[in-house]
Amino acid sequence: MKAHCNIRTLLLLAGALCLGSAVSLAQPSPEAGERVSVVIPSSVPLSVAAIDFNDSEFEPRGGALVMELSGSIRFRHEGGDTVRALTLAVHAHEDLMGGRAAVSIPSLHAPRGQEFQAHLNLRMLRPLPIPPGPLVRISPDAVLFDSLASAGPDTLDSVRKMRVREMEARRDRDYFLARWRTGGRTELASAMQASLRRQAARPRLDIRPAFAGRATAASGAQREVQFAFVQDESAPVILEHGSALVTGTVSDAPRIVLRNRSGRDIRRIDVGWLVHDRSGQAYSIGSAPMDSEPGLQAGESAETRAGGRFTIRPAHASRSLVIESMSAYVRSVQMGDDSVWVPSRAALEASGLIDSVPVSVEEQRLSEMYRQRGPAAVVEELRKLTGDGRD
Amino acid sequence: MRRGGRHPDEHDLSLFSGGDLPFVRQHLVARHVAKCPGCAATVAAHASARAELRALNPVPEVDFQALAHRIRVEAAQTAPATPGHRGRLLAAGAGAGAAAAAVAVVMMLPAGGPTPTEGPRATTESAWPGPRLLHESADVEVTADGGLSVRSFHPGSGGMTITDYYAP
Repeated sequence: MKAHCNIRTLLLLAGALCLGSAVSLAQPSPEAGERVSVVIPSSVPLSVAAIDFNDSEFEPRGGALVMELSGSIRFRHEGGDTVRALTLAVHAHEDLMGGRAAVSIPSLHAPRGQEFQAHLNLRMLRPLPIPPGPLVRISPDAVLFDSLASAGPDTLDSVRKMRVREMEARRDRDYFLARWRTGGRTELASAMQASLRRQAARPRLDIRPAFAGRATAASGAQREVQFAFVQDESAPVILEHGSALVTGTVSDAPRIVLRNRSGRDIRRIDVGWLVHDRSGQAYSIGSAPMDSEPGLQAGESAETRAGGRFTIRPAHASRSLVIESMSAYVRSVQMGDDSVWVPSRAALEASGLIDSVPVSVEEQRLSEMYRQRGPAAVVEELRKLTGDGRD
Repeated sequence: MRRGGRHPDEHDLSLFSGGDLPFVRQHLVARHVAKCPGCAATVAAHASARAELRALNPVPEVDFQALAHRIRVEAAQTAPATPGHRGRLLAAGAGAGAAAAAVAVVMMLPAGGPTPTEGPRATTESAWPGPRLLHESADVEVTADGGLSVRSFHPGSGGMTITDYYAP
């Protein structure tokens, strides 16, 4: 009787598996062209000249559709001021990690009437079944112009992020242009090679959200790790104290107390987050997650609060990481009038942060350009973007 | 053992001289060598050669982590690569990245079905293999929004893109 029941259970299981496979196979593989839509809001002075997502792949996996979006959109600038940066909101599903994303393209140089291309390479997720109509909607969230004015709905805090990157880009372009003026191509090549060395030598981490319910590496005793701070005298904010709860290689988002010492209102602060291993090696994690509205009035102090847990491992499996201590620094500040503060290059060098934190997006772009095309191409790019006409 | 004869072959005698034969064969060869001056001389020659090798400078221990680090640094210091070379590097990097992503996908697939307490969101969420990386040294950062950010360089246009994945 017992054996009979077992056979019946096995048959039921096999039937269920076949049915599951049939359901999975019944999901048609969507055509990329029909499944990606681009919508331009009326406040954005761009039009679409061409779309190509033919290299994208859509793969049903379990109860979800994993979408490898690979392609480009060619925009035409219909406005006045030169476009310097663009952020596209990419939307597949509201409530999933991988369901919403933003793709930013900095360091553009698109005067009125000119076309420029946005390349997208990202992995999105949405639940099955596949609905009729587009699976992914792409829409410009904000455009940043050369004057630092902006256009677009800005639902993703895109303008602030683009302004920060543009300020870092201007700082680093000025630095490399100054090196070129001092010693010509030899001096510029030396600066570019120093940058490439720093980028190659910087240890990297593999960071993932520690999803609830999954067996993560959160084994071991929970402990509170205190923060040390790298202060910048020119920063409008001082970091006073902070800590994070760490279990094995999983860390909660830190809580940091910061004070506005600028005498002006502050709208938003971005605090850089570093972990140190037992040998003292510093690894950059990125930014300490913060509340959505962490503004500070002049002289005010506040403690950051944010949810989220992160699994932190070295990028190379051959190395191990024991989180020994943590440190933080002020990465950028948006003032009440929307102007942006970023650390100076001299301050990054003096504090030693320049060896631990990722180079700016612009420095990475220029150094890659140097590696591929040589110093002449970098000089040409610097002069184009800074409007430098001197020889 | 040598075919058609009772003498162990050169290979076995060499291994015997270092004590590297399996236990039974070591015993059998030892019995033969004890009675055979020719094979004993061969074993002595091998033993002498081993002693001479040991007297030479020892092979330095290689710190492979440091070596890999140096290679990365020196590669970064080299003169600009030709576009073709760079293209191949990127293709290789993309291949390695794709392989790593594939391994990650396999490793992150749930071992069993969802437990009754897990909702559809947890099941769907765990299907996301993480951000797409175009090369293995791509930077992945936590963002101030609690999501993840990845930078990519597009060699054709010389442009960068920053992809932010938002936490739900």
